[in-house]
Amino acid sequence: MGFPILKKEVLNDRFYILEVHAPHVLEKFAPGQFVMVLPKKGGEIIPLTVFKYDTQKGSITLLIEVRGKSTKELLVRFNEGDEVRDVVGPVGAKPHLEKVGKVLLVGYNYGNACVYNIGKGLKDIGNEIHFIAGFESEETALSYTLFKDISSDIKVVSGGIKKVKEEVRDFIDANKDTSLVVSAGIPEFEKEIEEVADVFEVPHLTHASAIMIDPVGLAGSDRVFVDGEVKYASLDGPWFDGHKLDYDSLIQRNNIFVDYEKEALRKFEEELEKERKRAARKKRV
Amino acid sequence: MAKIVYRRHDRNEMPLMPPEKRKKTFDEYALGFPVNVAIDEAYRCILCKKAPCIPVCPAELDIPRWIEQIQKGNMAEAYRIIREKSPFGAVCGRVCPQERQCESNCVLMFKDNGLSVSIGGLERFAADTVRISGMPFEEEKAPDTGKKVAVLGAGPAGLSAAYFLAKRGHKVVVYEALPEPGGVMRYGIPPARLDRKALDYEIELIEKLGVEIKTDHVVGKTITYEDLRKEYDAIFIGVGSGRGKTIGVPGEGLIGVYTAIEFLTRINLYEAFKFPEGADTPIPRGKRVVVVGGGFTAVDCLITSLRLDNETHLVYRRTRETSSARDEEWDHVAEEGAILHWLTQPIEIIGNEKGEVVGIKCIKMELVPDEKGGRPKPKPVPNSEHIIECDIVVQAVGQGPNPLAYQDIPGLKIDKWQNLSTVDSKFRTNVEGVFAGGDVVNGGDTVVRAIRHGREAAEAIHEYLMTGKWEYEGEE
Ligand SMILES: Cc1cc2nc3c(=O)[nH]c(=O)nc-3n(C[C@H](O)[C@H](O)[C@H](O)COP(=O)(O)OP(=O)(O)OC[C@H]3O[C@@H](n4cnc5c(N)ncnc54)[C@H](O)[C@@H]3O)c2cc1C
Ligand SMILES: Cc1cc2nc3c(=O)[nH]c(=O)nc-3n(C[C@H](O)[C@H](O)[C@H](O)COP(=O)(O)OP(=O)(O)OC[C@H]3O[C@@H](n4cnc5c(N)ncnc54)[C@H](O)[C@@H]3O)c2cc1C
Ligand code: SF4
Repeated sequence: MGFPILKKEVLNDRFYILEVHAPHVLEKFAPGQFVMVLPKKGGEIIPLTVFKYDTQKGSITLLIEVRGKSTKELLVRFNEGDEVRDVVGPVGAKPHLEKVGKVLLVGYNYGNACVYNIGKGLKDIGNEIHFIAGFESEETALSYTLFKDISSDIKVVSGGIKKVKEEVRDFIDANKDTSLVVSAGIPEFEKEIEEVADVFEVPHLTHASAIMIDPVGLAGSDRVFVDGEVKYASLDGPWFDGHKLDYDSLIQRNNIFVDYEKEALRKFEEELEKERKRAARKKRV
Repeated sequence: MAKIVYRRHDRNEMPLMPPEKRKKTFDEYALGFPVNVAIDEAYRCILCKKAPCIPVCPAELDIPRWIEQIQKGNMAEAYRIIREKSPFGAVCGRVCPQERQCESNCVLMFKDNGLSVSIGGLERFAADTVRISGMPFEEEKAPDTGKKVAVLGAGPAGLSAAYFLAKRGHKVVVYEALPEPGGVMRYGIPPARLDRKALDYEIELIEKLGVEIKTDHVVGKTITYEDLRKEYDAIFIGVGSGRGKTIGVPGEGLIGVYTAIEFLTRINLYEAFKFPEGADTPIPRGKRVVVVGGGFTAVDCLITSLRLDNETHLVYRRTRETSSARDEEWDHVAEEGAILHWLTQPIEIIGNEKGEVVGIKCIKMELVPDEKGGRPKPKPVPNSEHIIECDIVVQAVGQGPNPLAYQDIPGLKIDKWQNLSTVDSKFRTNVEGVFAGGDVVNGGDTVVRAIRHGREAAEAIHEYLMTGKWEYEGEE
């Protein structure tokens, strides 16, 4: 078995797109859900949002940010025609979406894929969508054209979390009728957006990027605290009430393996460097 | 007739890797019998006519009948007889608590403190010989019935049901959420106790009968009950009861606190013990680990932790004698260097300012008789609080229900633990055409019991498919 890559597109140094044939995911897919991808045997299983999909082709499109070993390996080792070993899903609760009026989507880095996906669901039931697509830097920012089919008001903001936060504040200040803010990205970012949503008393739906290793919550690595209660991000989430999610504990838990992840990435980069040198030598000969 | 010779005392012991060596490898430490020893051991069995070992085997294997074949050197035939009742002889030979089952009731034990036949060792031997020799091993199945059955969960219960249904000529599709089939046999039990080659082989034999295993399919998400209902004539639920529980003390959110299932899954399913060279899933090594609990799962966490070069402790609120794991296993982990703290109850996990675990606060317990005549109860000893310094706490305190696959079945009767103990004697639920077995029914038991459930459910499903009769015997 395996799931063939139909299309790969490198967008910039930080982001790329993979279109993968995985029809089983789409039979019951609902906006807000995601998949878990195990690139190869011995690989690490990682959750990725279904950014876009094509039911006819049976394919899902993933928008991926290079962060560590797995996302880097998918970029450099997997090409069109190759297969990823496992695509599990869809995973996650189907969020209850309602027509509320004016909705502001705010994404940061990979979080833009997550808000786009649920935003599509919100648009389809008649909400008015505005989109602030946040990025760390100008070089890594993506073009608004990637998201343009869900809103005519898309603002790409680069320069870090604080800058995106300012934009959000300005937007809500100018649009007092905003009835929902939807945010996704690293929890450090979502926490800042929550500050704004809280001040303006706007409902806030946010995305808990917890560490997940299985799709049914057996391992419980993805436990998060919502209103003091334990919830599983893969089962009850990943979308939770942004006023109630405990961001600090999520940030803490997301750092559990940081040293190991750095080691894995360093080792992999060394390996790539060696290969580059070898190839260069060959060329000279 | 020749007089029967009772060789009560010369039991051949299973050869083990020495402790120093085995704690450095994830390879299996019980090495299996060599041929001559296996045959000698088989000859200890007197092939009882009314064998007392059979009724205490949860799968009711016809033990003397296959041991006789081992005596004759006919391993394939022995394996075939085992497989009349269970498709997992290689697994059960390794992981069954035989000393409490078949081996607890062998006639050789009835006098002079005799020692039982090593039934488990022989079962493993027959299965391994067939696999390792590479001899062709074909199994028959009945002609196609045209009926289709969906099996939910590829653990021992689901795979056993699939096997017996396929032999009856039904088309079977197994839906499994994880990337690999096997259930707890894959992600829970460490390779040090169960060689994955043995497991893979027995799963392959099931697939060879035409069973299709669809991994990466989460029932309730990827496919729903309504879909299955339309496509299949019957459904067997074998999704286990495997959600890792936490101990319920302050500090559980700290960095370094794991459920046993997360700890084991990282290592057993995603091979984190090879990190970073051969696998990308990380797991800490060379730390101080405290495992909390006293059962199978706790032992497996200890075995695993020791092999990661961790200083490894166990804390358990009862005694070794009242724990549910085997005596032998405590000996093994102690030999490998585990430090066992009996009658010790954790009360708080302590962290530093960075949120990392630095220790676990415990209190000593004493056992007091239970007024109602049950197991003696642990009671805290006043002023006995103490701290065990550590970096990691693994909570091996049992597993809870995982109803995702069946919570949306209209009208299905689910018990108060969210499990399906509501099935009747034929593993029927109250919903026509839907059966269940294994841990999802009994909340957590053994591999062999799951196999038995799967087999009996398969028989009941067969009967239902062929006659269309449905009489749920449970309370409506
Ligand atoms: C529901 C959900 C949807 C997501 N959707 C997308 C998406 O569409 N596109 C995208 O680029 N990223 C997405 N992510 C984030 C993505 O899963 C991580 O960036 C990825 O796991 C990093 O793996 P790595 O090996 O490259 O980096 P690593 O160096 O291993 O990890 C970098 C950081 O990613 C997080 N992480 C690591 N392993 C896991 C794991 N198994 N589960 C969750 N987080 C982990 C940790 O915070 C870690 O510090 C999503 C995360 C979640 C939970
Ligand atoms: C660590 C550990 C060690 C053990 N050691 C032993 C031992 O040595 N000997 C022994 O006899 N017993 C042992 N046990 C107990 C034994 O493993 C179980 O009783 C047995 O595995 C139960 O089998 P099952 O098929 O009912 O469930 P499981 O083995 O739990 O299998 C259920 C399967 O269903 C899948 N599933 C769950 N939800 C879904 C869904 N929604 N969609 C699709 N698939 C789903 C799961 O991923 C899993 O693969 C141990 C248990 C543990 C946890
Ligand atoms: S009881 Fe012991 S001796 Fe008798 S058949 Fe069973 S294993 Fe053999």
